[in-house]
Amino acid sequence: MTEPVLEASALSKQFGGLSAVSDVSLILRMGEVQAVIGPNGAGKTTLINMLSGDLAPSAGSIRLDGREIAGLSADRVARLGIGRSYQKTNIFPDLTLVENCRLAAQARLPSSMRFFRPALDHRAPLEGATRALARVGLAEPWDRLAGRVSHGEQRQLEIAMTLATEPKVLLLDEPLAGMGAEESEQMVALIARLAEGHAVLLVEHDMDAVFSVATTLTVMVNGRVLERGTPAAIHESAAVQEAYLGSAEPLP
Amino acid sequence: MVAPSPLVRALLLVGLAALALYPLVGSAFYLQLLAKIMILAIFAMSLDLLVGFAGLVSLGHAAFFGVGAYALMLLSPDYAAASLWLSLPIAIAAAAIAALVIGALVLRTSGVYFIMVTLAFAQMLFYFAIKSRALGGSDGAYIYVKPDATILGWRPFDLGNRVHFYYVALALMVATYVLLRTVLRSLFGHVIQGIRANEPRMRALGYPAFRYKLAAFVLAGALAGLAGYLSAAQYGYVNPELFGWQESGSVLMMVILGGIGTLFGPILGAFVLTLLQDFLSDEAIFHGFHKHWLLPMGIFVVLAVLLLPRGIGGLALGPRRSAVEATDD
Repeated sequence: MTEPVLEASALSKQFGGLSAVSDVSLILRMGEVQAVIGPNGAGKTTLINMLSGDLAPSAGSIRLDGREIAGLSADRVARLGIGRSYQKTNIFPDLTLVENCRLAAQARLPSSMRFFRPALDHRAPLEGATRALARVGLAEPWDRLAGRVSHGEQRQLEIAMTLATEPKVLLLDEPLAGMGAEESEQMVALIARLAEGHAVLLVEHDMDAVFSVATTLTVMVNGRVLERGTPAAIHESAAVQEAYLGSAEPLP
Repeated sequence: MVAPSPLVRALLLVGLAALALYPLVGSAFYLQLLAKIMILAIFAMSLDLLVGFAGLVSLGHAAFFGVGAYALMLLSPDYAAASLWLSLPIAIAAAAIAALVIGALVLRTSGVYFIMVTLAFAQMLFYFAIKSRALGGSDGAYIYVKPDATILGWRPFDLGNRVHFYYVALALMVATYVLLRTVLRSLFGHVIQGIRANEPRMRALGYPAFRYKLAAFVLAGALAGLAGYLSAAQYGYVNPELFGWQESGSVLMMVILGGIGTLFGPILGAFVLTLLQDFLSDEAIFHGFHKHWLLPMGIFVVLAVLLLPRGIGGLALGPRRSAVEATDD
């Protein structure tokens, strides 16, 4: 087995008296897709926010390639190689598709404190942008305004922007949110392809998608890990069915 | 970024040509007024970098205008000229350092708090200038001799000459415009505009937003310092009002009325507001009513904001694209 890329141990997050995440550990390796599932309020997005640096954990450690990153700012974490996408589409609607990705790829440059040469004369970000757009399979032309393309395309753009920053770890927060059946299918195929060269952590409500694409599932309930295992094992787990569906009905 | 269309560019060039030729026919009074306006245009463009492109609405931008002006006063010997080539860089650097210190504090806030805190810092400088004997207190202080442009025994122009001063102001206004256009097209320019549009997303992409906003704040402060220096050089006089909130408010008005985030708009705003004020307070035209020039001015501002939500510069940008109707095509 390959070395872990991302290793979270005993992560907890308290908001005042509320324990959003308690004692969650996770090991993510290159080339795998893991998924976190659980009912609303289980703490999935809080977990992602801690891993991405948007929230500082109340306790626990996060190691990226063996280096402690818990408590670092979101931009530091991003530059160290953790990219995230958002549950709610979070793009620049007034920029074109390629400009969105170019701006994302520009973050890979050592510094953008460059005041004179036109940004478009820097080739690397532009090339990174077109690579990312091609990889997610966004249809050309790419000079369309991001605010004017379809919802499905905006979700693809969201992933492309994250890819353009060339992360090792991809944190995808409900990439299928609001997508139609056909679009979902394409997105699932894309996520499977992204496993090559990335460690992918997926938070998703769509059970069919999760079971088809992830190799390891973590089930969270009330901020804690209830169960972890292969899709088949989770499918059989009585505890999961009890907690997740509130009854002993088998999962679909 | 909204780049000026070919038509706007052509109109700007016509305006520039008119300004360049004006001294051939203009009166001394209007030469001085136009030079003042061009200095204010530099000030307004520097604020547009913050308000229109970095999304930082500052109500204390006069702080740096004042620092530039007072720096020239302090650097000028009592009855002799300061060297332009020495005093101008020092004045700009002083304004930049003031912006670095103030920016490092105020940029930790945002929104309404940012507006209030920038105002508070400018007011602190205002009261400091009033209380400080070295700065001339509430009476202000005179700069008896304009800065001298002699360099290595050669004197390319004389700031004491009205026409020369006019052309220096014009050249610096154009240089400021070109500099800011260049900066906005650069990697840095794209980052600050991204931060204005969506700061959390920029951080998630890996940009340390605070540093970029601070750099924009320092650049804007330095250019405001340049404008303040020129203003002090023109009138040979500084007083605490230069730091005042009226000054910050009136330059913000030029930016808003001219067109936020257009860069050429604030230039138009500086011209329209100052010329209108000059016209409305002209006793020869309005007889006794000229004393109440603020009343028609206020009505004009209200109408302009209602009828031209994107400012005068917005007129040149054509009808607003609607994202909603556009999705149908």
